[in-house]
Amino acid sequence: MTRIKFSAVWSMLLRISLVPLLLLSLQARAELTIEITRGNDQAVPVAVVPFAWNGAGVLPEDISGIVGNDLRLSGQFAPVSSEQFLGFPSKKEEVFFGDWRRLGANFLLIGRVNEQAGGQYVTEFELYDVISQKLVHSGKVPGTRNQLRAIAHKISDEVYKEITGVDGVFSTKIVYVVAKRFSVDRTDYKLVYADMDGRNQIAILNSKEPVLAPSWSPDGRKLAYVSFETGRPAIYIHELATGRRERISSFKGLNSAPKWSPDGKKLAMVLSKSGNPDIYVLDLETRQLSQVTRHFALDNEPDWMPDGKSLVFTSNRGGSAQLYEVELASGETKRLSFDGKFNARARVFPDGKKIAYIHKGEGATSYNVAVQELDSGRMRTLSSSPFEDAPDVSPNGRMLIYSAQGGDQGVLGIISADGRVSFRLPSSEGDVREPAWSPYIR
Amino acid sequence: MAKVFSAPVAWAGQRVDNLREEGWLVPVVVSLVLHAVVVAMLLLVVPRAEERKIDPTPSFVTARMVTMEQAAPKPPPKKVRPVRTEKKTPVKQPVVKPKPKPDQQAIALKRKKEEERRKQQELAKKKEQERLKREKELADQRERERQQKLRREQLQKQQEQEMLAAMAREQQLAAQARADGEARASAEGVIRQLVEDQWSRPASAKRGMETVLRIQLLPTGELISVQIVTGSGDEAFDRSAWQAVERAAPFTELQALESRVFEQNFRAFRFKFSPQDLLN
Amino acid sequence: MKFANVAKGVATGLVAVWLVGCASNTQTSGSGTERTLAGENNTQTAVSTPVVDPAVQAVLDSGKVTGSAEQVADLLNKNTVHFAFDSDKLNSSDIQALDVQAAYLTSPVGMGEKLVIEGHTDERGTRTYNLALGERRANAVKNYLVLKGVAASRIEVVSYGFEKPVNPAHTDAAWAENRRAVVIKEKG
Repeated sequence: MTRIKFSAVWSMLLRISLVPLLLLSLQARAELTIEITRGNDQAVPVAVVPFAWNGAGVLPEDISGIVGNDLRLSGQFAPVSSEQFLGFPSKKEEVFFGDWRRLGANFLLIGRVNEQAGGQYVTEFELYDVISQKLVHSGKVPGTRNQLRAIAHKISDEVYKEITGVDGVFSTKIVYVVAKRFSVDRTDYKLVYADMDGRNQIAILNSKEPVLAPSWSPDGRKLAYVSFETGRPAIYIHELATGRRERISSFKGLNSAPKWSPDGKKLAMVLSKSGNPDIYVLDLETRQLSQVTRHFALDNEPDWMPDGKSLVFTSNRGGSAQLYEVELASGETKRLSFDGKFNARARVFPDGKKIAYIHKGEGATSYNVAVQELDSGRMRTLSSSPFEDAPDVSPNGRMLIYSAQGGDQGVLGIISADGRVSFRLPSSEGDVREPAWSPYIR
Repeated sequence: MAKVFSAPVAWAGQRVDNLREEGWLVPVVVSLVLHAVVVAMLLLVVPRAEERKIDPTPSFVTARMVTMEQAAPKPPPKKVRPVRTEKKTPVKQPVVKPKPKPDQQAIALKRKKEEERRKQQELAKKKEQERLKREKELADQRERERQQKLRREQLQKQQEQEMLAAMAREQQLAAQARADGEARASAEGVIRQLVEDQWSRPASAKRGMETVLRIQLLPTGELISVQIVTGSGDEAFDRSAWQAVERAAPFTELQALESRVFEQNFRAFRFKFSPQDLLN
Repeated sequence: MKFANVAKGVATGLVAVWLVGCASNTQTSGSGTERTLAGENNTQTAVSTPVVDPAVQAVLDSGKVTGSAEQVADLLNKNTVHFAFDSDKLNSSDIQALDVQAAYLTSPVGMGEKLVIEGHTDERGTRTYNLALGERRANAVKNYLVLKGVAASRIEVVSYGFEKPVNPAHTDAAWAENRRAVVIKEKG
């Protein structure tokens, strides 16, 4: 037996006596924490139940159908098909969460429309979290029969905001151009104003000459666009409520690509009066024009950064159509796009961090909508039909609208900003093109 | 001067706040107190052991020269309870008396001699007795010492055995702890994967958002409760975390764990939702 | 160059011969009542006289271009020039046509005329990009004419981009047709 030294024995005893104490303190310590650092973003499954209706016949507007469609268009929701519903509750007492959980729904929307005396309609709704079986949102909206569609869109906005934390855009509007070609020499053009789901279309302008490049004022009350009605391209400002128009720019040569500044006081545009297409800014109050680019190359398609201090534009000063940014105060210009031989018609996202544009890759033949992050320069193409054009961004930055070829006709597409889901808007007769998304309508 | 202290004080204060937030404050304090108690105990016990280290020159022992047949007993070994023996050995000097007259002298002498002889005999007897006594004492002492040594050795042996047993136990505990740790880590991984698969982030989710949920489970893996410990400030984000846990449960995989591991780790635990894979 | 001269000489000569021939024939037929059967005894009974378009004549007279009246006429009528994809460069055959145009416009006959030059593109790219590209194509033509002496104030440029294609099909051939600039004369 080896002789163990005194100090060794005692230090061992010391350690041994500490072990149970250590274990004791371990028990008293805070619990295990498991870190969750990644997710699996899926469209949120939501069940939208047909609203109950106290009147005769069918509801004047299919509220749940509109809401389901809105949510589906956003790309972030997957409405459960009503064919799978086991019941059609319209009150809390009628809801059995287990049924909805089994269908895979995370959320459940139910509601009722009541027609009251005097033609007033009251729509009530409740949104439930199926998993924790809790009410998360409810509302009561009055309105007339004609407003029922708008009320449905408002419900979509509230459901969307509650679940995603982001404002919904289902009450916003779009404008676009429809062209009907009869012969080489005769085409009829219309400028159409509609709900963002493509419904409730109104022709706000009819012309025998081309109309293009519409742009919304930030208050949503006016449009600026290019019209050839005088035989030459000129820029018009069109007040939606009154239909009043003003020809704001008709210089010799090109007057094109108008874009309202974020503060609504200026219009960026393209003029070729100096002999070559260049970017100008027109002050709408003073009517003073200032030239922004002075390059012998083609400079075109300006859009504003949200702070109003710089413009993104297209130029082929480098030999091919690419995107650049110019700081208005200093004139400093830097190139933004480096991929491919054609990058044009940029639209800046509302947060100023990304741009959407039309891109043709190296060696490719198709023109597609692409999104690029400005700080990293990372870009990706979102869609893949051959001739895409005129992208515009929704005011919440989550969806894009653009024109595409659908068979022989032009059609409009809506795609989620991450490119995961895309839809065609129901097409009008004729060739649809040049869409623009309104700001939030107040 | 204040600046020198304010930074560490602030740091310390922040550490305390962090601890309090995560619920560690109380256990840490308890642990510190327990450690202090143990340390205090040891400080009191050990010095006594220290004291028993033998002073090489104890002042209370006076060693005197002895001229006796027996050798002086050896000084006692260090670790033994000090035997406080004062070694007093009687020292006697032979007394030389002057010579008396012849007849009377002879009788007196004889008497004296006889007396002397008697005295000497008594002395011798006494000496003998004392010698025997001393021998006995010595033998007793030796025996005592021997016994003590034996006991000491036994004690040591016992201590060594105990220590070996304790070490073995410790090793066993360590091995078990390792195995438990592996089982825990493996279960953690499974749970993490299940929840990640179900976590669909809302559009408003951003890097930097963080939600901590505390959940309680039955050993079957079923959820007893979910609570928000800290929210991200974004309701939609918090809800998405909650739903992910609800959809991932029940965590039936936990049934495969030893109940000790389940109780220690998964009876009640937390999720920290802190996305690293978002683009913004 | 020499060949052209020779051809011009021969052509003029032939024209002269024709004219003489016609005159003599007219005289012959006007004097007697003899009936002459066509193709029987005489070589020609009816002769057509090309009337040289004054425009063509003006071009020829200017001395700025060489070629037959026919060629000149053809080139004068060619009011459309074509372009390569995404380009505003004029090719050599187009330049020939523009030379003729310029010669006419700077001649006394064509001096007062104003022009509108339309620029067009194929469908590829974006509509607003094509509006600017069409503008550059039209300007390329205008600049050339100005270089050749036509006053800039007489020329107006308008781009239609892809708004007025001649061929709406999605084929290479259609695209080639659409990439053009058109010179339209307005009699002023």
